[in-house]
Amino acid sequence: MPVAQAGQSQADVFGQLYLVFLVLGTIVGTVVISYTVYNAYKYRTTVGDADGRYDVDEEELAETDDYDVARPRQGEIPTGQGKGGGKKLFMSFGISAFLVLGLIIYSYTMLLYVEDTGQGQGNAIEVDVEGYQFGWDYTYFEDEVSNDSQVLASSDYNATKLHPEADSDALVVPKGTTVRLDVTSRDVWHNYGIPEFRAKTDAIPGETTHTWFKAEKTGLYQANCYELCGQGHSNMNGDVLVVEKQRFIDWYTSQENTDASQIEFMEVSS
Amino acid sequence: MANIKLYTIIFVALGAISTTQFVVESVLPEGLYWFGLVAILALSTMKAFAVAGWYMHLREEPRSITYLAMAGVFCVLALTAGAGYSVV
Amino acid sequence: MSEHLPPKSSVKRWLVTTNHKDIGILYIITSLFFLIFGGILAFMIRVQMWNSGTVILSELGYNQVVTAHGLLMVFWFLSPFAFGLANYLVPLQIGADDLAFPRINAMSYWLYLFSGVILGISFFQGSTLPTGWTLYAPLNLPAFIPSVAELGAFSGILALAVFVASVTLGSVNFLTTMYRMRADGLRMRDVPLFSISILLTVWMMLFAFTALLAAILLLSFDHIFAGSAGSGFFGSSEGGSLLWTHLFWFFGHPEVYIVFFPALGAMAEIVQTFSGRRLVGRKWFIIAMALVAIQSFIVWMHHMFLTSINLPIKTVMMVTTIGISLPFDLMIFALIYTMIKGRVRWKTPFLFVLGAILLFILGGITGVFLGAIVLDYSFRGTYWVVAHFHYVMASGAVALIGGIYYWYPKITGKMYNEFLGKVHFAAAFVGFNLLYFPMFVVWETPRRWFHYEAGFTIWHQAASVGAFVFGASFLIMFYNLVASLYSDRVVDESPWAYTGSAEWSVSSPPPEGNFPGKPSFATGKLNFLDGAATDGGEADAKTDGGVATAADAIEQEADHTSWWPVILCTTGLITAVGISGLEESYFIWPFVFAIPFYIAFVGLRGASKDGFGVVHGLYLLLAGPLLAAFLLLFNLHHGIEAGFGQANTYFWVTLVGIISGVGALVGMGFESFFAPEPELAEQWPFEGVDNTKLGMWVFLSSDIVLFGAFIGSYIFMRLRAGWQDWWHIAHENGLAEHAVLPGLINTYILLASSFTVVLALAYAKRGDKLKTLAFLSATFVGGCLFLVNKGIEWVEYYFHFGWVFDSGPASVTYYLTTGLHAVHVVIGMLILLFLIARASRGAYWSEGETAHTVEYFGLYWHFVDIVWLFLFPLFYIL
Repeated sequence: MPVAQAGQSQADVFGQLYLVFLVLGTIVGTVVISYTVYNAYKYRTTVGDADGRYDVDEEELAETDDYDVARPRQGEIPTGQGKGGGKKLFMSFGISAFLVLGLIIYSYTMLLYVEDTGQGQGNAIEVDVEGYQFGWDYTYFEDEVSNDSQVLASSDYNATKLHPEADSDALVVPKGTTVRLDVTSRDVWHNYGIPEFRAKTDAIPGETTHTWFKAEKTGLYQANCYELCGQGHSNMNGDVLVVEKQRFIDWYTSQENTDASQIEFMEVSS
Repeated sequence: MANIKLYTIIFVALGAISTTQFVVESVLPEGLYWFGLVAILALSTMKAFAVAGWYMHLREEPRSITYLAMAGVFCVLALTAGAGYSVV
Repeated sequence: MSEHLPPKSSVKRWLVTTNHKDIGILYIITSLFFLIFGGILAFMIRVQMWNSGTVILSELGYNQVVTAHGLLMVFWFLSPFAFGLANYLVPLQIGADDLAFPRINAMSYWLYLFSGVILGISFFQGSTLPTGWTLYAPLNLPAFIPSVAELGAFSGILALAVFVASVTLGSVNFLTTMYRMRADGLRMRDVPLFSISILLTVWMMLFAFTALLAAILLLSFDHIFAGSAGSGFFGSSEGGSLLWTHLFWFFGHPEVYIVFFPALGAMAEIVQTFSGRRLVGRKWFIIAMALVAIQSFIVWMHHMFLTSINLPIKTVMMVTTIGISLPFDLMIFALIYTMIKGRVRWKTPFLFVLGAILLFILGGITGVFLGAIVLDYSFRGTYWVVAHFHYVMASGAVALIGGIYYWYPKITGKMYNEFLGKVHFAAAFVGFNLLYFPMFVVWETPRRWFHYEAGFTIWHQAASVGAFVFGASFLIMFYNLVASLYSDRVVDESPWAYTGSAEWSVSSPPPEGNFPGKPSFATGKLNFLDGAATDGGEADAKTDGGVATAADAIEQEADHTSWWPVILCTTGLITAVGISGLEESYFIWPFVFAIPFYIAFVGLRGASKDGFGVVHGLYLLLAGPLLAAFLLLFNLHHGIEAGFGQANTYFWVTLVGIISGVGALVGMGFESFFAPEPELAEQWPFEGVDNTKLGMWVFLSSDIVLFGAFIGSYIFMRLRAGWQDWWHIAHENGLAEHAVLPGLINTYILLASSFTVVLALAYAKRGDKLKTLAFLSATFVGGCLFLVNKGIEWVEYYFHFGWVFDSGPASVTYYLTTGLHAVHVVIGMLILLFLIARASRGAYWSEGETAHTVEYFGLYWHFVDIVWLFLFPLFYIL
């Protein structure tokens, strides 16, 4: 099975893992469901009750009963199973436990990558996201720069200039660079998610949560709200604009209130 | 009369423990806050056991009644510990 | 005393009945009504989803429909549907005449019905809750609910509160019944699987719903007292939102199993019967269920993987979550293997259960996807979740529908139409998959959105068609179930071969007393003993032919009717509707005014029941001046004329509701209602604890969780704010000083009142009436002193320091937790007044019943004392 490797994005990790789960899930589901229906069909019986009292005739069936299993009797205390079943039960339980535990341990290594090593320490664009009813505000490098006037906010720029179809307050990020998001909310609980990049996290008033992504293609994408947040929820989306690195650098440095030293790492690498 | 004597002793002891809690708080230096916290809560737990054991006659009931109450306590501890730990 | 039930054709019967079988039928019919209600809402969702942005509902309308659909299906359909069956079947399966507390059972039903009515009313108060069934904070607060929707939103919350009351009463009742009233020789492990599943369900209900109650009480406070953004309990930016999710999901995850377990029990019974084979690995099946029930309380944060909780706790929750999925594997395999070597008949009940198993397998596998946190991150808030939990929850519903077909002949004495049953199954199964499977395909649709990508349209339209087929299939069922009532397909004990449990050994429908004789398993199989003495001269309480049990006992027949449950619950309905529109400044007054009325009612009713005594005269004399005093206080606060003149209609509704409510409470308290305890029964592990005492302990155990959730919330907020900065923050918010001494004094007072209760009991046992009365009165005085001392403290903080309810997390937790405790003290004092009145006239004295009642009351009072023993350090010392 594929393992998470340095440089992979959340979208890569999700894609791999989802595929593994989907294939195994389909196989297991098909096998178990077929087996269930097969047995329900195979052991069918239709010996009608001559008196018409019961749906089948217990007594007549008992005469031809070759199986050593316990059949329910009216007014019984249900102890004792007869033969069969127990060993098989634990074997299939063991197999399913093994399968599930294996999958989860495997997926946990992916989680650790996503939560920790994948985020490209230091070399990332840091953006604060603040949800509100019904949109998103972005602030670049808010916690990193020493001077508040060097903070670039989405209200300060117009992303439409970069891309004619983009909203003016779109999130603008460079291709191939890790973007780390610190997400919160100013009113109610939202959830910030960019499905294309498999980045998603809750936007909770009073709390800050984190996620990250790395876009591999330029273009215009969408960020959605994934938690019911009021009347505009169904329309609460915003644009995410991915541009070439150089274009991002030019755009960022051309804005007022920015601190070019924050993106030095990009020029070095490119 | 034996019962009433026992109840009286327990009542006096409960009062004394409460006073102790109060005193511990007022004399303990700031640096020993966490020690005090544990001590005070332990004293409260002792009091609770005394009330439950003797006044509520848990000692004389089948043990299963104690387990029943403990099931509630288990839920509370799970919730408090889990929720508390998740934010510290 | 005993009055026979009116015939089934009379409306009166269904109002006064306390018989478990009648109440079971009422539950089933009512829940099916709510299924239609919730189903229509679901259909509106599917119409809205026909095309992206199709608009038949406004944004607010859509949010309401989404919310109400979820609430109705989970709370008002699924669980009560299962509990209709449970009400009917559990006593039959365990060999009991009825539930332990028949009147309380009736109250459970009426509270359930009326809570649903309140939710229905909320639609007409402008708008019902528009927050999603998870009610995430702070969207669930007045600050963020459109003003047009606030009334109805609060009604929705109150509906939940009333529903929880119903559930808690039901849990106490079922637990007591199942532990204390099993037929002789029927060990707990031998109880039929459906009843076992109900037992575990009520255990989870008892604790989980109490946590929800705590959340709802706190939320109600916010709705009454906190209007602006950022204020109140859950509005606090100091972790308020996150705290809501903790409390909600601590309830919400067990709730998933609460909904599903009865279905699992029905599946097990039906697979056994229609496979003609005892469940394979029965013991392990039960152990697996018990494990799930316990573990369900430690997995809740898997609903919160994307919140700000830390990675270690996420890991713990991932492990416990995976751990909880494994017992389900075992259970499903047990069901499948039972079919092998079976005598399988594809009758309607079996088809539904087989279908449910297949659906559950799919729901289970897609659930494992969600257990992998990395995948969960992306699935969060999408249709993957919607599809997954519908496959799980609705497969439970499908299994319970199988249960209805299975037990229909038992309940009605008639056989349903097999052909129509099969047609229903086919349509339901096809419709179900057509409805929910496409949701997996277009899982990227954000949840609760009605806009989606153009490419998804065909799949959403398939789902909408499926919804129509699935919904329409139920019309076949309704027709079948009604028409079959009038058919001539009469059944005797059992229409099915290979049935095992006791309900199939009696006629269909079973006789009023359930069994032809006293059921007993002592010989290893079910026998009905006749009414004659069975054990050293002790007689069966049900039949009349017995020997008296105690020297002076009067032979009594069990009661089966009472008007009080429906009356009391109706007053509850009126009060709840009133509260929904009660203004903040009026909030406390209806309840205050009800107190003198209560005292007067106890005096009047007591005098007429027990004969006039000094105490009754005292009560009547006291009530008037007390009312005058309260009116005087009201005058100081509002001005009598202005206050009453400006009070809105809701104030008057509340007042009428609560005053008639205390009247009904007193009426029920003085009614003599006889529900016999079986003398020969299997009572492990509660031998020697009588029903009422066990019921009290079960209730206290849930009350532990209620207070625990309040205290837990306090600890959560304090940890988040910085444990040792707490008082510092409080001082900044206006608390000039916090004194420990008043807390200490109240500790002494409460301990002393516990001491006097225990003395009252000691003297009651000795028959010393005068000292009993004296010590009960002393306890009442203790309660008064406690409240006065507390009142001084509150007045000092609130008015002198200006440290109001809303002055930050320290004040809101302090006032609410000590407030909840004070309410418990007040309730205890009101009960004391009742006890004192009764004891003064020596009611039941000769039978020693007063001693018992004093003991039960003592348990409550000591518990309230114990709570204070923890509030004292947490809110005063530390």
